[in-house]
Amino acid sequence: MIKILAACGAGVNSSHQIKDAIETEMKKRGYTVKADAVMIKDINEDMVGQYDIFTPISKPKLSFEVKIPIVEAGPILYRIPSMAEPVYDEVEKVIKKFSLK
Amino acid sequence: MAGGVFKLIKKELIFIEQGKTSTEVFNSVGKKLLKLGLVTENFVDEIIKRESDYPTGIDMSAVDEKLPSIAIPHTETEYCKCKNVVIVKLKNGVEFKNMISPEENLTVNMLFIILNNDKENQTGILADIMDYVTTKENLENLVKCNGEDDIYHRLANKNIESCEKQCS
Repeated sequence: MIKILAACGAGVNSSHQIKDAIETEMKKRGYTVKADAVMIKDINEDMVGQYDIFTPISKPKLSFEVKIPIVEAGPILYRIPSMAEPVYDEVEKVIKKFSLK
Repeated sequence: MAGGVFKLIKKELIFIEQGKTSTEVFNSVGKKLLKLGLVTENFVDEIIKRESDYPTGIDMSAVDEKLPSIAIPHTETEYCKCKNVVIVKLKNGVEFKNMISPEENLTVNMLFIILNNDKENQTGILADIMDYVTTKENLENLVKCNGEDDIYHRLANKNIESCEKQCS
């Protein structure tokens, strides 16, 4: 199970949109993925350590270094397939590069 | 506009603002919302702070060069006393930062301010707004509207002909 952490700064649950979109698309591409949606202010180093990939809306300024691969997932919010594709491709690239399962 | 979101839009919650900065606009609209009892006392401060920490500008030129950019300002549920989408037409393009690339400035012409006092059901509102603004011609026609009534009718898709006559 590949674990993905989706995050937004917002209060409109944009992270949930990211979570749903990535889970659905990666499943279509044949990967078993579970994503969690959180707000950036709730993130700490321990939490990030539990995941394989970090997918924030945009790269946040955190007080610690993120040691897992980061894929900026903002374009998914447009809900336009051609804009979301590059994000999904990047996530898939990371999965393959690190042989994540 | 999708039925669900359209129900959250009221004629009295459509504003045309002259402010030149996001702070000016938030102050002006916030005062009106406070008077209507729709937000708390600290709503204005909170929405200004939220916008500065986590900007909500959406670069619509990424979708189509002709489209004006928008923003979806909002703040935590505890500062809202209702569930509505406030529509603000900005007479002057106002600078907002891009939600997806926060160092980048965007000139924004339309705001969809999301007021939501319900912690649970947020996801749909943003998605519906995005579907609306990314659908051909919706946004282009919306910014051409001059008055609050025009804007309301355009969103309601009512009387398209009379709106076009007034808007062109």
